[in-house]
Amino acid sequence: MKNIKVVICGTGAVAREAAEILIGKKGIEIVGVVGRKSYIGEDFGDIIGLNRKMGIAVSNDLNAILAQTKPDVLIDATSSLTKQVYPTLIKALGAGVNVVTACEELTNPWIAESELARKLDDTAKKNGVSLVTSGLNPGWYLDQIPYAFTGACATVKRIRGFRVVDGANPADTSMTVSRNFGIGLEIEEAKKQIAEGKITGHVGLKETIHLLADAIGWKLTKVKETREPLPCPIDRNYKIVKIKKGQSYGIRYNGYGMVDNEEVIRFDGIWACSPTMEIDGFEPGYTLWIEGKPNLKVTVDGATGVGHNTITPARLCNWVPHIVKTKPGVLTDMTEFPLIGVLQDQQK
Amino acid sequence: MNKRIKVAQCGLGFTGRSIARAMLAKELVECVGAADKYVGVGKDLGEVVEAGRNTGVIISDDFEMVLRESKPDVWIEATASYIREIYPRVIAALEAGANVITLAEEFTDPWVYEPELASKIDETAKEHGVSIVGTGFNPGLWMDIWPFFLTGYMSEVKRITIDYMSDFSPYGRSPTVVQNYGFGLSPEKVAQKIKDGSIKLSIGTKGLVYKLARSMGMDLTEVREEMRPLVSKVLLDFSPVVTIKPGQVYGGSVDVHGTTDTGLKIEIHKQFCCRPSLEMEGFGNEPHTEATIRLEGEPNIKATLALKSEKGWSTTAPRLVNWIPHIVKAKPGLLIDMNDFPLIGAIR
Repeated sequence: MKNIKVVICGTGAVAREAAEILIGKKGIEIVGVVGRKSYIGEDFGDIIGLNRKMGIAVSNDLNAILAQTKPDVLIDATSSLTKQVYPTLIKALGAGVNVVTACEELTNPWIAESELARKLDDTAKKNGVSLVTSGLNPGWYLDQIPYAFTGACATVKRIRGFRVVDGANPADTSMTVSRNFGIGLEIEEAKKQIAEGKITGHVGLKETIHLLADAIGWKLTKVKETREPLPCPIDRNYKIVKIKKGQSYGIRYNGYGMVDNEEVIRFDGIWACSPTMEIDGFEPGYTLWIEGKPNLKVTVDGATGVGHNTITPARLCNWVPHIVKTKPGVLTDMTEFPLIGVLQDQQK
Repeated sequence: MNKRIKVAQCGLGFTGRSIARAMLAKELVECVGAADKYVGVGKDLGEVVEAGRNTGVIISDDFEMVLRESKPDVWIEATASYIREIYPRVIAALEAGANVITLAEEFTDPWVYEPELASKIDETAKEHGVSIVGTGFNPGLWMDIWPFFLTGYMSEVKRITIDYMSDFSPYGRSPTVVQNYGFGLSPEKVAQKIKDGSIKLSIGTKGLVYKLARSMGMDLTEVREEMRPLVSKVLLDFSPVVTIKPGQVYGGSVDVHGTTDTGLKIEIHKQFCCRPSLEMEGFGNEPHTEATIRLEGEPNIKATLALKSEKGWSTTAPRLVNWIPHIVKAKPGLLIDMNDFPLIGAIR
């Protein structure tokens, strides 16, 4: 079988790790890299620390790369904002290239950006290719994991998820990420910043709730989202941020999907620095309850920290052999998704 | 998907009746025929499976007539565990242009158990442009689909360990189950029967390891399967069918160890027994199934799953039913490589 040719768009952590993963995999070949100006002309092997040249120079000319390499798939790991990725994605789809993107705002583009979604969908269909948004969010705990486990049920009445993420890593390493979550702020200030939209928490929560409801066949009459800062129960000191007892050390966010007055989907998320069961009453992890026939309780450990995670790049890569076979258009209907496992390694 | 999918079912034993009951509640599915040699012949399917309504489908003991007259899109084969036993009906259904969903455990990997019949089934399906899949709880969920699904969030897998425990107390009064697994006999007697093949604690377990390896693009270089009876410590009263005394057999365990050419280790530890705790603590006949899936690699992922439900709602019946809209779209042939499988959730 012919190799699947992949162009990677992005030179950040996720893009680099995606490239490293793909290099060891069977039937897939990286043919081009689109990156920011500071990397132009550099060999991608050097950028990802491969200890050898890949023979692929980073370029910022997407059109030229698409024309020269004629890829089957473009992996986009550049931005969480639709507006920023849209020009790239529409070009790729227009050139007959399937797209796997990590852009969180595209989780369910029909809701937030229906105009752009329609254009992407039209262009994809016209060119017989598909686009999917995947990674950790969406793609993991609130959409595909719950949906996959409902596959054991004859009926589903209610789905509930509870996820605690440990934010200690940014508190040690990144002021920007820490600020995004209001770490170290007084509670009143954090509340104000949440109201102003400066502290966002989980991006795409409502959209993901719709994805899940659509797949199950629930017509939601109301979707609600709430966010509040979490006061730290003790003093906690990190390399970058010092948090005093009572100051914000994270955020609690909840999403509800209602059918009339019945809450059919509920998602409780906590993002906090170094929480433990003894001190905080919760600890990093993910638990899912599916109420129905039968009832299922699922816990999943993996990706409970913020910052580096392998799941996002792994998931983007694992989509590659599937996206070339799926039905054309923007994929948001999970009932049409493939079952995706790990990519096969090259013969050693 | 506006047109309802026409389904006929063969086999109305304990699980078969659950399947029919679940199917009759689905808006995507129209039941057009039902066959069983003994159960409910001449009666309305709805009455026999306690669906709460009549269906107009009269159970027949002539499966060929059902196939001929109902012209189903999908044939559910819910009769036996062995490929050899269901083979004639499966071939007839495929030749009639029906897709087939079966619960036969040997379908974990038919090429391991009946390579010649498997090839013939595959060829017949392809020739008629239809598909066939084996599914239920085994194969189909806990020890193949879910582990593989979770590898889809990893870039590298080094070891897969699956521990599975199923409560059989709901079947303690099923003469077939009691006899098949030697409940109430001495462990020596059961060990002897396992040796001479008259008791099979495990149908299809070894095949799961082959199926996982195959779907990950690997070949197994070594596979070991061990079976042993489990002995009760307490008195379990399933009269009038059986009374299990302390020291007598109340379950069994199967361990399969596999190693692939790439050094991946796959281990499945499957246990089933008539859980005394549930019986004694007044849980009555609530089945309880638990599993832990450990995936070692990049990253490590661990999932625990627990199922609890009313009597009669195992995961086998829902899983078969949830395949219905997917099997009609699947690629023709005998589906065994999980890379060709869809993501399946609860259907409408």
